[in-house]
Amino acid sequence: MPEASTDPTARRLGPLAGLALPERHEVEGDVGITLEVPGPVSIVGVEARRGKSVTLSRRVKKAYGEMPKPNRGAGETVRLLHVAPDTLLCLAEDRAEGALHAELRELLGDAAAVVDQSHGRTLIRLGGPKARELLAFGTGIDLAPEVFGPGACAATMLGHVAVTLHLRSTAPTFDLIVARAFAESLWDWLKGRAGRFGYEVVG
Amino acid sequence: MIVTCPFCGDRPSEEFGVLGDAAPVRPADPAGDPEAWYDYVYLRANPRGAHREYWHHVGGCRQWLVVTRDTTTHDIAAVEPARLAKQTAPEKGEP
Repeated sequence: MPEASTDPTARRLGPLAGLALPERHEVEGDVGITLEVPGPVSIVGVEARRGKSVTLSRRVKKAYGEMPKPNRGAGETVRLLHVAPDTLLCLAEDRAEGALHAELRELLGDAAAVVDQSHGRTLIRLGGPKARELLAFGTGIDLAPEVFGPGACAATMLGHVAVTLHLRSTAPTFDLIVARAFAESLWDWLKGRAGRFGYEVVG
Repeated sequence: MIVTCPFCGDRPSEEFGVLGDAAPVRPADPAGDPEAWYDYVYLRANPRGAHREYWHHVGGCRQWLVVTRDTTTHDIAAVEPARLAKQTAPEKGEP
């Protein structure tokens, strides 16, 4: 059991803080996968209250410029993933603890239930030319670039664990958001499958 | 087996939980006819052919769906959100 830290940032790093350490495992001198656990991420769940679907869309559009279409992500500093009907998963990587939650509560008021999940979810960033092949080992969704292109997101199962996938860029770079208690298991699963392609854990 | 979720698109059936028959309608009166309650809680038809069932997309959007499935071939004829699906009372004489 690691000692409780008094550093407010360390407290927010989540369950992979001591596991996602820089390492490089090459296959024929190359790596096909990169893995990263980015620093403190704010994760907030938003679900429209009954009959407030339109109000939610309007307020989100006004504040962030766009209400993402279903199964799409939108936004730069605050990323909004439309993962289910009237439901958004909101991500930010530059906010103080609780700031995104306060911002969304202020913005949405009585239109939606806004729940801070920053301590309950973990974000894993998966990249490299073999990222799609790696994900295909564990999920049934169609990952072909013409179907699952940049900006696409999906709530699905990966290696029997519920995850939210977001394809950030064509590189490809996927963000995987997973419940914190399953993060270590998913991390091991990813590294286990990544071994055949070669992988690098970016610190 | 692929289920086309109206919200998420084509998904493998492993992502879903199945509750079963979508036909039974909860009796309005909690203290009502015990026979009606017995039917609602315990008795289910086991048809050959088309069957409307409640499925839950638990590994995805977590919405309840009504799936019309052929029990002999597993062909899926329709998938609709349960919140929009019409609940049909069982016909007289049906168990």
